[in-house]
Amino acid sequence: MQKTDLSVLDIGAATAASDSASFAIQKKSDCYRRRFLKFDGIGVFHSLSELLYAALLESDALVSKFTPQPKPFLIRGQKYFPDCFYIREGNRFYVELKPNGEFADDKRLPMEEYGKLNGFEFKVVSNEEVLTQKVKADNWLRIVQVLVSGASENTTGEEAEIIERLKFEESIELSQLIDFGDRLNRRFMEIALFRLAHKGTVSIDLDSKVICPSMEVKLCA
Amino acid sequence: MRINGRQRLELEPNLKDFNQWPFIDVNDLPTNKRKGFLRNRKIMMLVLSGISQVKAARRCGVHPTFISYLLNRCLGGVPERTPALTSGLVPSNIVKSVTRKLPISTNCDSGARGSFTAILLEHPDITEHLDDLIRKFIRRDRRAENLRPGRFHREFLRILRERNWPENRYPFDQLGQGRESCRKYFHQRVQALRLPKPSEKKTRVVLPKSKYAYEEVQIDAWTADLTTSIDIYVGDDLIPIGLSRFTVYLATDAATGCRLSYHIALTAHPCKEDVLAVIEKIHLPIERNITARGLQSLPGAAFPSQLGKIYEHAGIQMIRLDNALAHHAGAVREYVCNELGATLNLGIPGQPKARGAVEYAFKELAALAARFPSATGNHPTHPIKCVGKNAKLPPVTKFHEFEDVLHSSLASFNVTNRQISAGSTPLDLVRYQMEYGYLPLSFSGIGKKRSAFMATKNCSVKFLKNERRAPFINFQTLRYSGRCLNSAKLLDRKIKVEYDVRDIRSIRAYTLEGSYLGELKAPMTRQHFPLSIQTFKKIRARCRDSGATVAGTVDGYMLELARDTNSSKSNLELVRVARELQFSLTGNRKDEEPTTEPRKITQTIGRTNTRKIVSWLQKTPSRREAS
Repeated sequence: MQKTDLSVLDIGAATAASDSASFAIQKKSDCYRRRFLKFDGIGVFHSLSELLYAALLESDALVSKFTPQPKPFLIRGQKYFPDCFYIREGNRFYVELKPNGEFADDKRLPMEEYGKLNGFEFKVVSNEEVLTQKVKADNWLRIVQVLVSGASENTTGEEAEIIERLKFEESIELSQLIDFGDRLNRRFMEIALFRLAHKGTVSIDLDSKVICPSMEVKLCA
Repeated sequence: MRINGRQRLELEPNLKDFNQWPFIDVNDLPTNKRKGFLRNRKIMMLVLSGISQVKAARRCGVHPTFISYLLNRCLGGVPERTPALTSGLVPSNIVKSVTRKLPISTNCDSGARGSFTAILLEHPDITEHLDDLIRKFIRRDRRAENLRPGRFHREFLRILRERNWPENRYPFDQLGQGRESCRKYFHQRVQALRLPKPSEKKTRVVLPKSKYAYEEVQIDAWTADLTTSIDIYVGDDLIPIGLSRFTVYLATDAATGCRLSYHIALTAHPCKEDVLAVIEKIHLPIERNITARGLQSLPGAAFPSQLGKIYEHAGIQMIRLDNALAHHAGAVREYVCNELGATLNLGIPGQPKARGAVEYAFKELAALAARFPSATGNHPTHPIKCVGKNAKLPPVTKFHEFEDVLHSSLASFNVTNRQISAGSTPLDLVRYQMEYGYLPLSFSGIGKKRSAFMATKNCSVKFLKNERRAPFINFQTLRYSGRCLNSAKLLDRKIKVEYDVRDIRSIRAYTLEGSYLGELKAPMTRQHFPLSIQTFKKIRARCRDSGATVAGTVDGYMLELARDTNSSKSNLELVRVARELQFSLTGNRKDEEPTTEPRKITQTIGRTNTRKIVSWLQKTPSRREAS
């Protein structure tokens, strides 16, 4: 192996760092925990921006997998935990979230250099950039909750029905697909709709408006 | 370089307009300075309007040189600095800092004004030494001297002498030797150094507050600021015993302020089971028969979970808790994230304002508790604290009566019109948003029993050949066995057990692949009474501390608690254990009356201790006596 001042403990494996290892930081930080669909287990997020960023990754149909707090790198003898790791269209990304996108060069430069050698990209994303998309992220957190709670339901038929209806109509209101009078018993349609949105088959305008019954659902091109 | 008033006007012509000068209200000035200020203002307005100084002096009855003095006072000074302007018109107002221009006096050849400050400016090492003395004194350093102005002055003189300061120079040429200047400096520095350091201001992005019901649920614990009592039977006598302060867990919706659920933890140190109980109750209809005399809830008072089936599946987006150790429990994390699909937020330590809604609710509860005569207040010397002879007797306020009051006040709050929500009640807001908006639901609890108290664990099946006993597993230091383990395939293999933490007498066994094997039972000695993990841990700790001289069973533990009723903390534990047993024996919720006939249970179990406890449980804690 090429001798550099940056060596890696574990790279590429989309596994989170052990929970007990980061307990001390969890006691001190504004810690959030949440289940997601593209990450197995309960994700640990050390700030609200990290949580929202994970929700935005869920909204991107091209992202196949992500890992909050992945296993650490060893930079000049010190452990460094990036905030997130994700795979998008087969490309690997490590992300650090910082206020104003300002990150010290002593960690950023070795990470970028090492990324070029090992086939991943290291990105620094500003917290403010994530927080401007809070409405979208909040909407996707709602959708993820519905999908996590309805993970065991089989909705193949309902998904086909929605696609068929959208082929004939350009757009359909959410209230026409979800029966708001009896949501518990007619839950399959709701789960099916959100599964399609998660796969990127249908689109709902979730960027600027909170989910409401009057929202329009369209088939993606 | 200093400039005079006329030069200033040439440099800054906009100052010729008196309206541009800062405004000072005459009424804000002391009475004795108003006349002089009005005269000076008139002079200045005349001069600035272009009238000559001589004419202006004649009109206002002053000497022309006074006008020059006034101009220099208001407009003169260093060009880079802002002049005194209107404040210079106030008589006797100090408008410039004292800086000595002449050299420091020798043999009293000039005045002493500004000499002390000049010494400090010219000799920064002396200033540093003096400040260091004051700093150590303020910090209460172990080696620091308890400073007073006189001692500080003597130290100042000593430093000067140490530096071979001439004996004919200031301060040695003065009668007071600069004592007054030293005193003023000492007090000024002490005050300045005692001021809190200004915190570094961070630019923070202000996020919008939650708007939708169940978007953010805040949960916190509050130690009730009052003591209560409960009546127990000793023989045939009903005796009141005092209970120490207990903890109330409350769940509040941040957007609507709606009280979602509460749970009373009968201890000062709540554990994960208490946290789970309050979270679980958000989705369980909380019913309670109010029996306290004269207490009535508002019409329609309820918790949201009582509004309908859909509210029992409301999807919570985020649960905010504080950073207590019990909240870090794996069971809490698993239930919130896996079962409810919500975000669990454990805030930064020492920042209760992040959970403002629930803290506001506690403020109201504290006001409610303060109405009772047995209120303790929130600190040892609180004026409302019950003291004297009353403090020695068990409080008149009964525990179940306070429970009624708490339930009633929380439910009534939900139907109170609030100004903050434009006259709507919290319950109306929740109902409206559920009916006309989109609130996500959690579908995981549909069609199956969802309990926060169910847990799983992997255990190894063991078989000891020399003992010639059935295969077993070790769980919570007990041996569990059952017919389902009598299989050669399972020996030395791991299985998964599912159990209710409130009663571990029997547990369900599964293979690691998830197929059901059967039921496993704890030893017969543990079967007489329900056994929760929380109680069992306490029993084990008690046995360990006493060197196994006390009984290690639930009935032994409870009778021991019932024997010694002098400690209010022990009494609280007695009530907790009694309620736990009552709940499990009757199969009802803790808040409801026991329904099972005592005789039936006694016949089934048939032991002396058991009979005693069962009959005792049916009587105590009693509502009937109180009502």
